[in-house]
Amino acid sequence: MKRGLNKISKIVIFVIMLLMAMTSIYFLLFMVINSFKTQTDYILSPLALPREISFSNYVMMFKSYNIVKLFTNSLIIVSSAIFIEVLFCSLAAYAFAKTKFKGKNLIFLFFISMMIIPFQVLMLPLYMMFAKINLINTRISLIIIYSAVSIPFALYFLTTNFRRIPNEIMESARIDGASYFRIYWSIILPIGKPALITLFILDYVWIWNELALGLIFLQSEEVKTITVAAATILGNRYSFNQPLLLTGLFLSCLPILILYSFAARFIMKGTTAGAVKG
Amino acid sequence: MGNNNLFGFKHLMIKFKRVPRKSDAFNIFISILPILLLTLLILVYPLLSVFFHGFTKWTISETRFIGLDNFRNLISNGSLVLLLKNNLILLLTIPIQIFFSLIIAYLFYEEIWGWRIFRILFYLPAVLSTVVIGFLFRTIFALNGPLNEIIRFLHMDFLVVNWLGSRPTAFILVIAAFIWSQYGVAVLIFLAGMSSIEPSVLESAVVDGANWWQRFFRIVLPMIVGTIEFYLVVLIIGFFTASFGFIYSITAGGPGYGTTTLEYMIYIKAFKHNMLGQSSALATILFVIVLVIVIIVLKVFRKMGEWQE
Repeated sequence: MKRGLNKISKIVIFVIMLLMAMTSIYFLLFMVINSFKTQTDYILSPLALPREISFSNYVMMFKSYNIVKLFTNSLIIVSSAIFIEVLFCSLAAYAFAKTKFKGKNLIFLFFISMMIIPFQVLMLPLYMMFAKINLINTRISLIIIYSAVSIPFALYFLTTNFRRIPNEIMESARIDGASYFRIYWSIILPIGKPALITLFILDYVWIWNELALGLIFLQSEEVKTITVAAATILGNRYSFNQPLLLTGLFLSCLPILILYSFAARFIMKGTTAGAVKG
Repeated sequence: MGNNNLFGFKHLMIKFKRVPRKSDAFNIFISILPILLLTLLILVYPLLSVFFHGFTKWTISETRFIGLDNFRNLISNGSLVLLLKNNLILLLTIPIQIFFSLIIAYLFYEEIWGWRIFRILFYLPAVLSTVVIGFLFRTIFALNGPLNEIIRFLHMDFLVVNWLGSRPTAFILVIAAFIWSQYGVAVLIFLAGMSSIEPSVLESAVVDGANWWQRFFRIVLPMIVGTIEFYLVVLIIGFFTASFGFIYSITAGGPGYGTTTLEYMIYIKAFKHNMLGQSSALATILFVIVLVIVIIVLKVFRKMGEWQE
């Protein structure tokens, strides 16, 4: 497979690839290195290593930026939304993958066609809807919205995966007297675990990073997620103190970076779902 | 089933195998009910609400039908044209983005040195939030930021650019941020598509004397048309949703409304200007545009498919 490229072009390509890969690393390093600088140190030399390592930015993060609270909010919202989504979608995917009923293809199509709605379209009516029942500035409103917006992809992803579970296992369980939901619980879920984990991680990344909906639904500092707080509080209060801003940015993506370093395999597998026919 | 091609999600449709078992209608109903309710409440109802309110003057307390006035105002004060132009600029970068991702994917397919590590590093920006990427870009490209500092240090002051100060350069930043955050995803998806190509096909092409570019254009591209189609749809929808975060955090739509796109204006009109009816009208336009583009893309690719057969 390696024929066709001569040595020189191979080296040139490698160097180009290396430079591109370096940008990914450099952006991270830029945040980390500058998070240990004072503002004066940064202004004098934004690119150098810190002259002396200062933890004052991190102390600020805990003292006045209330980072623990923000992390907790993110964790609560993301985890609850994914729990609801995975529970409901796995149930429905089981029905779509392993049973037959009238109008199944059409109903399935209805769900996945929702993927083409850009959610900016829904932002305002959702806001008005939740404002009417006084649920703005609550975590519960976003938990419901995130879990609903995730449905089309989750349903598609889980249905394709559950379809691969052999029918024979289910049939023999059924003969042994297992009920419909018993099969879901003790056969579909355990065998479908890799797919469930992949979906969980993918959704964790996108909900953790979601901005537009969070921005309008979480306006009081009490309920903000780490991403929304980065966009609003960091962006307004600290935009002229770059080391502090960069510290906040770094902390806000640290959990995702840790997740990525462990689960890159799952994330990349989930990304390509749907890319190939069959 | 003609209906299976509705919205063109043809290849996403799954051929359901018939499972020989007695159907328990009630259990199935219970299984689907939760997501049906959530979808109707959170996706379908707001969509219909937006369509309706585009034709009204909408405030918290009242809703008054005013016909096409919102649309007329958007067109007559020229803002719609500006917004669409901005969206068009973003959309025009798609072919470049896809072309380069395809080349990288093909290099990875040929297993160039270090491709496994490159693959992971190229994808890395995709897991960062648009806020993190946007603020990083804004910091690095600031007038007194690191990039201009290096240039000044090298005494090449004529190259110092106030990136956020003018419309073209601000646009370049937004586009760069978007492409930088997404190309790893494209590479990965195309690579997955290429993995289904029979290696023997390419090997016999080499024997026949086809060079690298000939193999790329004549064999690899035609064989992953389906994957490109899939990604194009994903990317177009993504462009209308993900660009929000970049515009918010890099330019905030400025200078002026120079980098404000349709989807960003929906937010501005609704939550900054308090013009809910106009915001709904814009949202309706956005939805129709996305729908039309997706349908065109799928039609074009279907034509290409027929032409190849």
